Amino acid sequence: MTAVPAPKLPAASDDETLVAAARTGDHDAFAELFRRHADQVRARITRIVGPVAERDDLIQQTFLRLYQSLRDYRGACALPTFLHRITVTTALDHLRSARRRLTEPLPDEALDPLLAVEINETARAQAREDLRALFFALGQLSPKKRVAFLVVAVEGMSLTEAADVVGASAATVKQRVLAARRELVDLLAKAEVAHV
Amino acid sequence: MSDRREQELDRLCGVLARVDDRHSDLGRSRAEARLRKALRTAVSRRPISALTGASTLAVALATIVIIVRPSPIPDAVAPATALALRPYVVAPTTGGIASFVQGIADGASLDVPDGWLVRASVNDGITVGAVGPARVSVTGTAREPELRVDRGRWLVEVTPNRGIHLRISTPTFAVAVIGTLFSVDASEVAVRHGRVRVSAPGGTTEIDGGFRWRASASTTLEPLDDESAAALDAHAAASSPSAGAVTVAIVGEPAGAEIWQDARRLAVTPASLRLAAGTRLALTAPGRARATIVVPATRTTIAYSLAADDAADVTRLRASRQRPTPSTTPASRPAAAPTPRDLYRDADRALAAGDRDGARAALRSVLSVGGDDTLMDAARLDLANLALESGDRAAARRYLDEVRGDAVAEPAARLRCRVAVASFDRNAADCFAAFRARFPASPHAAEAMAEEAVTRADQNDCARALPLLDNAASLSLPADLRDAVHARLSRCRSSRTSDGQ
Repeated sequence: MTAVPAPKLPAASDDETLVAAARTGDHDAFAELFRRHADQVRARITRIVGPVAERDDLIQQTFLRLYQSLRDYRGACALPTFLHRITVTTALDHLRSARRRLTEPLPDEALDPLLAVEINETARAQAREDLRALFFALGQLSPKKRVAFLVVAVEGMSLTEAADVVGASAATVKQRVLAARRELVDLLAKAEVAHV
Repeated sequence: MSDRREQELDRLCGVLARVDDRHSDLGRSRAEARLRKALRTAVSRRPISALTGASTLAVALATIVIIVRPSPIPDAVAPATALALRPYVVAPTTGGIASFVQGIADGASLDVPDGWLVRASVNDGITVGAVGPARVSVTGTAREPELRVDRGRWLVEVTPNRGIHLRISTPTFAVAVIGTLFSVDASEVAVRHGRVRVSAPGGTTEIDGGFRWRASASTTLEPLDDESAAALDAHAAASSPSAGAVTVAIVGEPAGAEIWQDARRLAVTPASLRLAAGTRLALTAPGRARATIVVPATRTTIAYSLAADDAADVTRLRASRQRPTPSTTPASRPAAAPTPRDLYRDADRALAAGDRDGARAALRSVLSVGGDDTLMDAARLDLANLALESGDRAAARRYLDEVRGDAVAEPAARLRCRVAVASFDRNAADCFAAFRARFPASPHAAEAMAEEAVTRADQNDCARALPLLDNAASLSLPADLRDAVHARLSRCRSSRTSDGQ
């Protein structure tokens, strides 16, 4: 009778240990990284591309890119930062390749999973309308402007941090954010007029 | 006016910033299974270095009989052709069928008999699966294959970005696919990921992942139902073999044994599986010893016989509610000092007779004699179970902490969560969540989900409990757990209603 070796991973491995193990082809270690960061990646992708059906594929694509990039990851930045860059790139690629704009408002079924469970029905209805209007307006922006605006205005990054994540200069990011703001304000104004 | 609009935009950004679109626990497990599969595909071109030679072909336990011989039974796998349906799983949906069904595949078509599950690859990049009765045939070229669904519901996965343009036809409509996971039968198409285009007499409709289209209501889409989603996820998680795969037929006693690869159940026996040489499989059956086999490099039949009265019967330990039937034939006791196996057998008999003290003493003797790691882990797990039953949580934890190997890792992990519940540990619910993430294909995953749901509800975390309770309420559970789920479900629903008012 042969004893099976105990699991290789210690109970509380840090990201660095898991990355080192994943680099050697340890899928369990990489799966642990996935479990730790999947929710954050999902939330970010949803904010950027909206509650589209493809976001599960985008999450998988993000982690596959991370896996393929582990050899190049030298720990110069924290893993979440590294992963954030990959997430944004994946989302941006999707927006570029989709080449289609939202022509219909998002249905309630797509928006409901994004809302906190504990809020009451009135607040839910308001939050639904808010998200519907914002995603619709964001859907009219170019992918670059949309991503720059979201990482700065929604995720709260500085222009320097955003520049690092989207791979452009801080000045370029600033221009994109300002242009996106102008367009969004106009779009929301038009929507308001249409409602009236 | 402009300032007001700027403020409105900032307010909307705040709403979006608060969006916290987390995976459900089941969703995360499914996503992890898909990712693991993709990782395996990504590295499958590397040589397998872990093989240790023909001696590792079989035999984890001394009492298990594994015979490998040239296949005397008809092989269900079609010969390789330019475009062919090549089954990699052929197995009954429930165990106990004693012989294989012949003529399932002829290369160009698959005919799945009633009650059988077949999964097959179409060259590299497409997999299909169905539970019989079902029939499909393939024509066209490797780049532009066409599947004709004649009967049944087919689960299809197409690896994207391979330049494959798959077309599927049914008697009433046609489906064009680029890269996706979906199911199709004569009346509907259900898409899990990606996008397909359906052409029917009423017009053309594009269906995104998460939606279902019915021929009878061709202009409206419905959300994908849970059953289809689960079936498609299971199909995606059942990896198709790499180019160097071989077919093994696994037959023996008892029929209906489960075949496991890592934490994933592949099929029940008798089964014909197409797998990469060197793949390590485990065979388990209730009340029988576990066996490990390694897929050899050439096509074979592996005949097994799982010993019924083995001391290392870890399966019994996985279901502590079900005590084993006492053996009808008295075990022959050697004249010399009892072996760990003899002692474990004594413990087994004592448990069956309800003699917990006697069982405890025999199990402790197993530990003191030592020498057999798997048996000792099984004894520790039994002792932990008994300790928890008697309310000694500290002892239960101590025994569980001493479990070393992974032969009983799954039941030990679940028992640890039960100890946490009994100890009013705040992390008890997370313990069940971690269990389900670690053992996504565990036969106890449904019970663990229900236990997590009940625990979260008892911790007044109805927000997280409710989706799990809703899910658990639709599952087949032991009566006490089912009652607990329904009680918490009513309580959480009523508390949500009162919060909303």
